[in-house]
Amino acid sequence: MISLLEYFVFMLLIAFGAGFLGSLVGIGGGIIIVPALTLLFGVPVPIAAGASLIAVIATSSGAGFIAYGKDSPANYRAGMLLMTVLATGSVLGAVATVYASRSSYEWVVFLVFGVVMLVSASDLYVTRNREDHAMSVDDPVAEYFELNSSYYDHTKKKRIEYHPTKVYHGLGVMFSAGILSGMLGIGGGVFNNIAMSSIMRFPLKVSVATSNLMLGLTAAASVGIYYLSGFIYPLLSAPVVIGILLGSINGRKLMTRSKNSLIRTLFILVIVAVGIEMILKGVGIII
Amino acid sequence: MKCDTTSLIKKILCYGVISSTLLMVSGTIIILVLCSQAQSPLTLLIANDGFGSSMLNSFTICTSEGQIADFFMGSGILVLIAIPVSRLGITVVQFISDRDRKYVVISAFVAVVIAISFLVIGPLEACFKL
Repeated sequence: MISLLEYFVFMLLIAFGAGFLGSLVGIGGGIIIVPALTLLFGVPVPIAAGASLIAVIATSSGAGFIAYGKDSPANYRAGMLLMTVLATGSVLGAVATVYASRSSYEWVVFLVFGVVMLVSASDLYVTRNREDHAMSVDDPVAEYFELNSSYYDHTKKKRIEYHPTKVYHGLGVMFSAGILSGMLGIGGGVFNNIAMSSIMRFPLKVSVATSNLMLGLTAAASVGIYYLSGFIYPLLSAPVVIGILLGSINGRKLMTRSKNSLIRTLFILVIVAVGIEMILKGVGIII
Repeated sequence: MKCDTTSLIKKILCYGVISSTLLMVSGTIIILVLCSQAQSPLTLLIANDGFGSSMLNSFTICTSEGQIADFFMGSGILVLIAIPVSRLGITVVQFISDRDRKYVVISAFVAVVIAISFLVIGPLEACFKL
């Protein structure tokens, strides 16, 4: 039996590690903290997801404060348009998890989480050396929603124009990303980037900055359901939020000073291992 | 987005994160100082399975002093949740003042979804255990 002090230290350390690693490879800590809480400590999925969503809001707001401003490459219109399906999906995902937990279908959540981790790992692997790309294809839907824009690239020292495309496809993927975010308690930044960068052809910098705008709001959309259903525990959420915030601040500092290809590779391997473990738990091989 | 909105949102993000973190840190310090002999809440958390009627809080593990800690930590969580919601509110107002009808409708839709989550689905879920 561990003491209260030991409990707080454990939680702070795990959350710090999640925030630190997450910020090194450009994702939130939710994808690490939820498996850590459920697999290591046996915390029920909706409680772990609730704590993780609170942490997502904290890190997205903290990062938003640093990055927000006139020079930010974020596309506010695209962010708001995509939020319509993200928020809707997120609410549905939260309802699904709460329902699954109450009706002994929690294994489905483990299974989905495992698959999501493997997909995230493959995306991190594929995009490890990706360069920004600007497209010049005019899409009438993007024009209607006024999504064509430009941003100043400080590394290239020039203004980059971009014309996103396949808006409806992107909205479809974003809806799925919202469901996963609400269901699993993760920010879903990886899936936002797949939709915006790979499908809609936003430049990577624009999609990352815009995704960060949306993460907090996506989490807020589903956190109300967890909160009012009694799955948000201050005693769990507080050390998780403090740890993840401290971890992500320190991770960002290190990221600016180091080449992170080795860390990224290790991180991908960890995600694959944990993803497989979550799938095995989902199918009942690990109890 | 106009400059005044930008600086307002920056202030909300900055003060929101700082105040919520301070509240949570205060709650953590209070419970560690006043309830140093208490056991880890993990056993209760897992045994309770999250579905029992007795919600786990600081009071469960540390009687009355725990309530103060719970108040601080709970308030920190509420402040955090309020940050993106107020940010959305400001964005809606900005689109209205810009007379951008298309995005007023889009951002209002997002606000309605979040309102439904907090005011309809959440309470229904809590009351009827759907």
